[in-house]
Amino acid sequence: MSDTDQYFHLTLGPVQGFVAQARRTRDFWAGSFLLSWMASVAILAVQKQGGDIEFPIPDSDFMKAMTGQASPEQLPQQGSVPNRFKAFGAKVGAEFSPAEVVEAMQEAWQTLCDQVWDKDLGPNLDEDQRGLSRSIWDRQIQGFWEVSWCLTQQKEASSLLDRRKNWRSHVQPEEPGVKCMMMEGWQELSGAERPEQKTLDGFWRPLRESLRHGATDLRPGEYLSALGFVKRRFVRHFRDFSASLSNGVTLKGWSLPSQVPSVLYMAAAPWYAQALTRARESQGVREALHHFHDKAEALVDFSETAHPTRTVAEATAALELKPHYAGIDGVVFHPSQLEQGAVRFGDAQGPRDVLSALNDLRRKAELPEPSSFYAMVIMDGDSLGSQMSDPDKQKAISRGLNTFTRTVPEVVREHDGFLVYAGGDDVLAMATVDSAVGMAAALRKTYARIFEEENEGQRPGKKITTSLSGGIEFAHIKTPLTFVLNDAHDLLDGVAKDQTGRDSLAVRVWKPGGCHLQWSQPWDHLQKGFSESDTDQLRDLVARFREREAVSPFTNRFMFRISDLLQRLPASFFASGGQAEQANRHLVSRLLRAELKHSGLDLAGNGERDEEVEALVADLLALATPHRRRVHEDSAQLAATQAFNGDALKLVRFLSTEGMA
Amino acid sequence: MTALRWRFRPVDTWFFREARPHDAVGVGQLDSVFPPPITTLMGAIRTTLGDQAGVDWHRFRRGEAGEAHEWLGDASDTGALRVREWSLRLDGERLYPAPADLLVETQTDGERRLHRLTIGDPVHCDLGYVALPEMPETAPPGCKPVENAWLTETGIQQWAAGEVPAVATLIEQRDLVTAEPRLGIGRNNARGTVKEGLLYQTRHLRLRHDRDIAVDVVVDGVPDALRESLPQHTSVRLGGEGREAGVEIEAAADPASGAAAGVSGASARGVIVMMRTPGVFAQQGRTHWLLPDFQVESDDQGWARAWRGEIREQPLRLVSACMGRMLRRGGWDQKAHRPRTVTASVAPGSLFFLEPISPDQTPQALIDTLAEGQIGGDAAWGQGQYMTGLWF
Repeated sequence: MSDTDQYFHLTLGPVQGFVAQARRTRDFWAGSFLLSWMASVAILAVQKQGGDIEFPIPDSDFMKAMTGQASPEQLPQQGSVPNRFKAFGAKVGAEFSPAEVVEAMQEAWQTLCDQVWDKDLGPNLDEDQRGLSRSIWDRQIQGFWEVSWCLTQQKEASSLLDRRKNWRSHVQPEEPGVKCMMMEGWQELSGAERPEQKTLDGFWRPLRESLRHGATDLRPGEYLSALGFVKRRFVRHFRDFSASLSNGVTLKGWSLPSQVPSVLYMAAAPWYAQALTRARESQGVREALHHFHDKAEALVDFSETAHPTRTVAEATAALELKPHYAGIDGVVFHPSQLEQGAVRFGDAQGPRDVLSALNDLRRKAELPEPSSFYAMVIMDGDSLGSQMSDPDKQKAISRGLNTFTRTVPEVVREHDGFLVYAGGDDVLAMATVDSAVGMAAALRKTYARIFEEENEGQRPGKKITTSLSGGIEFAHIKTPLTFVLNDAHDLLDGVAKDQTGRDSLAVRVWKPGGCHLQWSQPWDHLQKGFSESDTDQLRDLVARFREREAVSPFTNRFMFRISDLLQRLPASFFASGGQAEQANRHLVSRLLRAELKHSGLDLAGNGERDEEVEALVADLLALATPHRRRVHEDSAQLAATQAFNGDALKLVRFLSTEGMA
Repeated sequence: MTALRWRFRPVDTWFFREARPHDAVGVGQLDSVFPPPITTLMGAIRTTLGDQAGVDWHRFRRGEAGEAHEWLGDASDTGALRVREWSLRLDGERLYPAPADLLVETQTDGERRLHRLTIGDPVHCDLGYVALPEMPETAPPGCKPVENAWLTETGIQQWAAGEVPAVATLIEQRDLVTAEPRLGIGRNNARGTVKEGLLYQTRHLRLRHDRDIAVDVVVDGVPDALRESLPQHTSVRLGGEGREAGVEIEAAADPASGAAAGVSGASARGVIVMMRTPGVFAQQGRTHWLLPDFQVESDDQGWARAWRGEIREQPLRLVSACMGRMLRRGGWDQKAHRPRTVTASVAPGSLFFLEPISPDQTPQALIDTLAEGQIGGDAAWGQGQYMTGLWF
């Protein structure tokens, strides 16, 4: 290192306060994209001053796109745009000016927001209103971002931003009046003092009707702040965006699809794939499907066309339908939505016709109602922060994370998901009920493989010790998205990492009435006996329950009876230790077996079926016995806790009955 | 004039809504804030006092109840009333906001330990060339800041003496309340019907039934004659949906001090001012994190090195601070029928690390002088109350 080198660390926020405040999945995606874009502006500003970004390695396609140098096939699209630069470190010279970087970020953000104002608001507001709305706009746009940085001559200093975060100094502006429906605590743009519908509609209705492109971007009765409005609308104007910054950097926008899968679509996708598959096999189903498409097409558009799940896209292609049939608006699959009739659709007959066609398709295809649940998968690397201070590990970690980030989109696509962001060791993706656990397991496997390969080049004592913890939120379509996103972080950090000991999977299921279950296990326990196969204890057990269910329905009755039984046992039942505990566990095993036999399961009395019952009971108990991962001198061990988590049974039941696979 | 202690306990659930509107379209869910905002608690107290005094609320709203208005105040002015203390109670014991320098470590056996951040060497950063808080060498990686938590009296005494509080003294929000999802409808009272499209979800607070959890507000300024006539037990409607709360009213004893009492500060570097209630601070008329009237000290190159100011006429140098995000609170103005302005304040538990400027000032003497007090705006609302601890 030369005497004049310095190291620059920058972080941008509020991450959760911007990304997770969302009313639609598209808002969520937009927040993540804009955060990446802002950080990329910062990276360009550092590079403009001769700085060399060391961590993380910037995505070359994204950086090229920022300055209009990417070829059409390199342009970052939805699902592959990583939110990777929320913090970074760079080697810079002695004359480096952090203020120039911050100014470039503010200038770029201001210019992008101005474009949204100039296209959508400025021309469509009368003069009196324009002044008030613009003052709200300027206050919010200028006062939102919190940019913190540190500058040091110590190459190994890796905790400076963590130290800086212990002293939160950013003050957001005072916000009077009626507040935004998306961004908590920010004033909506009409400036109304009271939530009087007439006043609000007087501003928002004409504005909504005057917007060019994206007729459904603002729903009736929806009112947004400047920040919410930019998140909702920037995508319509980003292709034409261009900005010459004071530091000499010229930024260019590019075309971004404005469609992101809705939670309604993700919930119904496995069902739709099955319906499409069965239509290949049966003329009657095919006719019912065409009729359903005709009615649905008259009611809604193909708003999910850009990102159908892989299995839906493949089933659509196999049926030789036009690709857009893979992306029909998810609302048409849900009776609970269609039954809202004119309240939701402005017309009663259209949704009634779709519902009738949907029911006909269901009957002909012999399918149940589509599930009302989707999944949010969140993954995060374990124990990397502490190793970043070791200069001998930094490059391998950066390289490993870069490889991982580039690999994630394909893994998510393969598992029927939609990637919201992948940056560094963070992944957030939407998934179907069927595919979520498999996706999380595949991401963990990919991460482990990548760092194994990196470690081959590391000296003994300098190996990178890391793993990937995951959280899955199975949420009902009526559960607010912001709540799910915030809870996902709590699940990952509080349960998978702290409670279960990292390298673990944690799951919560949210029904409209609240939290239905919470369960977690270390990955190594889940994959015990399955290390060479593409499944694990949980998925294997769910598959076996589904098979049995198809022969003779029993799952519901069995699970309810067992849950009831376990609730009646004293809390100390599994905590007595020693032989007494063994005896108690044996007793529970016998009780489970007896209940399984009396639950309607078709056993036919032969020995083979008896073995099957024994295996089901043993595996259920293994899933329901919480394990905790303990690390001692770089080696991890699993220890069973003296408890029994009845939520494991609920989880097996949930996945068995809600999934389609 | 004797202060009155108002002790609020829930009858069912509580709900104090966040700064977002009830959602007329699509799916929305409002969370409750906890603990209850002082504006809400004072609203309930003022209503009880006004009822007892026979205030005609219609005249009061029209601004025609002059005398009553003077002492009862309104949503933006406490009148003659003053909040002396405002705190959570658990099984009768006062709780203190967890200081922002506390970290929690979860050990591999599930046991937890607390650690405290230390003040490290100065760093060039966007604040200046200043000493940022850092993890102590004794804290393993993976320690996390303590959030949404309180310390018991014992814990805060340990902290104020410069020690690391025992983990048993840490009370987390989940030890006190659970969230309870509710579904609500909009009502057309005139027609006795449901308003179409106004279906909403809220997450109420369910306080644990096996612990005695209460919120205390000690209020000065209640007229003597009225004080004598107040019931010892009553109930009020509290918060966003007018949920019931039981109230005990009694004469208030002097509050116990959480400051470091009887501990030697001979080797202390300085003192720490900890905000017990939100700090309403401003610099040049704008909300700010910095203690009021403190001025920056910069070096030759223009880097801010510290901030200099006075508390209780004691000149002090602010060397470092430790604080989470600013608190943003809004709420609903019942009288004006409109949302309150969302304002920012320094969160309870925020810490200011202060060094004496004069060699005559010892940390021990500073602790004795500063003790507990109030700093910044909205003093009548109980904002800006602080306590002190030793900084080693």
